[in-house]
Amino acid sequence: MTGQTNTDQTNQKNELAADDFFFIANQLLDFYQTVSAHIQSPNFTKEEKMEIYEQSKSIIQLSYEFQRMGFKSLCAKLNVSAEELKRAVANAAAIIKTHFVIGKCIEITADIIAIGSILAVPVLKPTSLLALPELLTELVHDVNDLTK
Amino acid sequence: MKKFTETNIFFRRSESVFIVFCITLMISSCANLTAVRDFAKQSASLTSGQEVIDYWSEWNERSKEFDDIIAKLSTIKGKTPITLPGPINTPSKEETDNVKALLLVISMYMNKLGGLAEDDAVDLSKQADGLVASLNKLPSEIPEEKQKKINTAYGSIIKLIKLPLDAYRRYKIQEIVKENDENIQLLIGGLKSSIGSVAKFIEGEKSGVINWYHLITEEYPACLNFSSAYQWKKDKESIIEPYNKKIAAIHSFQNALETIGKSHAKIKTDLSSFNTESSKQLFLFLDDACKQIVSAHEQYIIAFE
Repeated sequence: MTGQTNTDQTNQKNELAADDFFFIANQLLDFYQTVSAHIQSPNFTKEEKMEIYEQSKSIIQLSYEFQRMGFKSLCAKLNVSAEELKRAVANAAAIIKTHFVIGKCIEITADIIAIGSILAVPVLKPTSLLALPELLTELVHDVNDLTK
Repeated sequence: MKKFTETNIFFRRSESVFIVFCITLMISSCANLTAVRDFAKQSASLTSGQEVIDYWSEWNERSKEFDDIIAKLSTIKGKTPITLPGPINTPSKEETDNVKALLLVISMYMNKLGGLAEDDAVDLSKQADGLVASLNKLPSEIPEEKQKKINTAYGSIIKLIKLPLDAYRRYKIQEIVKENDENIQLLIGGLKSSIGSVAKFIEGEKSGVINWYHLITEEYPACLNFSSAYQWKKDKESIIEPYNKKIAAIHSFQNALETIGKSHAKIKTDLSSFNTESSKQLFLFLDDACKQIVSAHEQYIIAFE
């Protein structure tokens, strides 16, 4: 135990607690099943079965409370792991965006060349200018995608 | 004439380069990441299902399911009908949201991992084709057919950006998996044992409800004939069935979580940038894992709809 940081000791305490809570809950539920089986047994009178049924409610109620404590403890224990995974998600998103940016650059180049192919002609036809607004819209759209 | 000869030489050199790179592309593209993508996306779908946590937290509501029947039976003098067991304290929204967040973070992580393994992430064929189409419209002194061939060769070279991009994203995938495997194993281990306890709880709840059914029907019996007895049996089975479906679905969910953990660990060790034997075995493993996860997810959706 020497050399362990406070965080390690706290995490270990939480780790034992979460597993312990669920272990106790499971033990109580097993016991509840054993008791429940007697309720349908012919060895007991109707009144005795009623009594066992009512008294056994507290066993499943207690197991539920231990599960609540188990989940609380689990969330505390795994909070650090969850935060680190969220950072990994952001990292992966950044890589995907890098690849997206490369694709978008090629698209923007194509858009500019398409516009250039209309304008950079020896004799400019007025009718070919009609295609310009749509091409410009496409260029603006692609640049906006890049800046998102 | 000189310009034409220079252009011809450029075209022939481009063609040779193009052929060499094509072969390299074919060789390296054999080991694609489809298996990794499918595994990650299906894992994301499975772990986005938080109904099991909602179901566990809604025990209080279910314990009042037959309150209207109990109220009707209360009108019979001299008898107090028994009630279903229910919780002492109901979990708060914050409690259940915190647990659901653990599943959600695995789902988000797997979703991004799958996104990184998509072919679209590195395949720039569409953009390169668009660029070639735009280049073909540019005026040129060179005959149109030859210019188009030059532009197509240029576009093919652009498409080869896929090679370094693919190598880079494989490296990043393996790096991300290595960095986060410990956290993934911790999360999956914790969630697997906790929802196993939830499955046990549902078993207990089922027993409680069936016992209540036995006792209440004994206390307030219907007519004693075959039809009534048969109906009693059918009603009991219809009460039991949803519980059994949920318990089986949770066990499949647990097994699928375990498989997700094992697969993630295998990606950490066996994913290679080259088409090696270990990569091939990994992809086969991931294909099988994917099928198990899909099956568990389908069972889960049906049980908790």
